Amino acid sequence: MRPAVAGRPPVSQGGGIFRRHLPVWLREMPRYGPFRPAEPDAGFRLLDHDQLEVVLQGVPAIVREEIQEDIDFLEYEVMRLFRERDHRAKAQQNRYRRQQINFLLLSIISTLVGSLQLVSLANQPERMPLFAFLETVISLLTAFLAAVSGREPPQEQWLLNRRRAEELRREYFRYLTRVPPYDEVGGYQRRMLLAQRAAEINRGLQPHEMATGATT
Amino acid sequence: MPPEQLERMRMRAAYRIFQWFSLEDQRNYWQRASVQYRRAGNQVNFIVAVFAFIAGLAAAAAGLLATGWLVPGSFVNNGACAELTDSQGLVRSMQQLGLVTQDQEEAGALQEFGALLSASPIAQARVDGAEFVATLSDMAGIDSVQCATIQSLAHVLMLVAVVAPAVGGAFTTLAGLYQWDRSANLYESALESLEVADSQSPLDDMDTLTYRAALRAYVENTLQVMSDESAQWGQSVRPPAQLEQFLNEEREKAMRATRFTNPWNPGGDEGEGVGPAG
Repeated sequence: MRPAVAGRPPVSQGGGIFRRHLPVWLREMPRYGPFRPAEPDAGFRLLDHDQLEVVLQGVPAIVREEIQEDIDFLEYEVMRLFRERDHRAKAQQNRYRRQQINFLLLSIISTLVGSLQLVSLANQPERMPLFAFLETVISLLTAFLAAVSGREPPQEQWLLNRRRAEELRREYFRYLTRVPPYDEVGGYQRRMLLAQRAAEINRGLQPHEMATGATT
Repeated sequence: MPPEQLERMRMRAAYRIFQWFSLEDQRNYWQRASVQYRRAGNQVNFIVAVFAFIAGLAAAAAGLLATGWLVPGSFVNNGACAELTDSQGLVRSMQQLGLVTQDQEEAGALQEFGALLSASPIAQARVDGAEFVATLSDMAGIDSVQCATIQSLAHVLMLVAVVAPAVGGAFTTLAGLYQWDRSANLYESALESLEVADSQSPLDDMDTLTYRAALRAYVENTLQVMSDESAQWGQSVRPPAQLEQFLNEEREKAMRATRFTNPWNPGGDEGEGVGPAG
C-alpha cells in the first residue's frame, strides 16, 4: 500500500499559519517579543493516532499491540527529549535571526544617517554635530547588542539542538522499524539499548561515535 | 498465525509506518520548503533589482536637474538658478553688513540695494550704477520658488541615490542570511537522493528474507539521506560577510567614541572595550 500524502502538511511542533498572507520572505522573518510557544508542546507526536489507525488497517491485533508498546516506550525515552531539543532549536533559530536582522537594520540606519550627513555638509553644515552624534549612538547600540547577544551564541545553540533533535527523530524510526542495532535484540535488551542510545544522542554523542566519546 | 507470517506482517506494518510518517513526511517537507525558498529567493532578488533601478534612476534624474536648471549655463534656464544662488549669497552678505534690512525677502532686498546704489554718488563713481541695478532687477525677477523646488528635488534624489543601494544591499545580506537559494538546492538534491532510497522499498511478492533486506536497505538509506541533509546545516547558516564586517566596524567606532569621550583614559585600554573582544 502506498499512502496518499498529497496536501498533508509536514509534522511540526509549533507549526502554524503565522503570517500566511504575507510574501514568503516576510513569513521567514523572526518574531519579536517572547517566543511562542514558551514551552515544548507536550501533546506533539511524530505519529498521529488517527493516521496510524489508517496505516495499520488489516494488521493483526498482536502486531498492533507490539507497535503500540514500542510507541509508548518511545514516548518517554525519545519524544520527551525530542520535543525539548526541537523547541530549543526553534527558539534559538528565532533569536539568531532576530539578532542578525537587528544588525541589518542598524547598518541601514547608519547608512541613512551617513548620507544625510553628506547632504547637510553641502547645505546645512551647522547640523553636522547632530548627525555625528546619531552615528555614535548607532555604533554604541551595535556594540551593546553584540555584547548582550555574545553571552550564549544563538547560532551554535540552534545548530546543536537541531542536530540532536533530528538524530533523535531518526533513532525513533530506527527503533520502530527494527533496523540495526535493534534487529538482533529483543525484549528488555532492545528497550535498554534505545534508552542508552537516546540518552547519548541527547548528550551530544553520535551513535557511531559513542565508542570514541566525540560530541556534537 | 505461523511465526514467519507474523514476522512478515510485522515488517509490512513497519514499512507502512516508516513510509507514511518518515519518508513521505520528509519528502513533503522538502518539497514545500524548496518551493517556498525558491519563491522567497526570487522575491528578494526582485526587490534588490528594484532598489538598484531606483538608485540608478534617482542618480540620473538628479544629474538631469542639475545640468538643466541648477548649474551655471544650464540648458533649460541658462543658469538662472545658479545666478539666484549667487544673489542669495550676495543678499546674505549685504544683510550681515547692514546694507539692507535683515527681515526682507531676497527680491525686496535686491531692489532696496539697487535703489541704494542708484542714490549713492560713491557707488555710481565706481560701477555703472544703471547697468548694475538692471542686473540686480533681473536676479530679483528669477522665479525663486521654482529654483527652490528643483533644488529640494535634486537633494531628495541625491538622498535616494545613496539610500536605495543601501536598502538593496540590506536585502542582499538578508538573502545571504537565510540562504534561500542554497537551501532550495540542498532540498532538491536531497529529494533526488530520497527517490533512490525509495526505489529500494520492499514489495509484497518478495520472499521474507529478501523483504527483510529490502526493508533494511530502504530504511537505512532514507535515514542516511536525512542525516546527510542535516549535516549540511552548519555550512548553510554562516552569518553573511557584509554583516560581520559592519559589526566589526561599528564596534571599532564605538570603542573610538568611548575613548574620545573618556579624558581619564587617553591611551585607551584594549581590554576594557564596549563590545566583546574579537
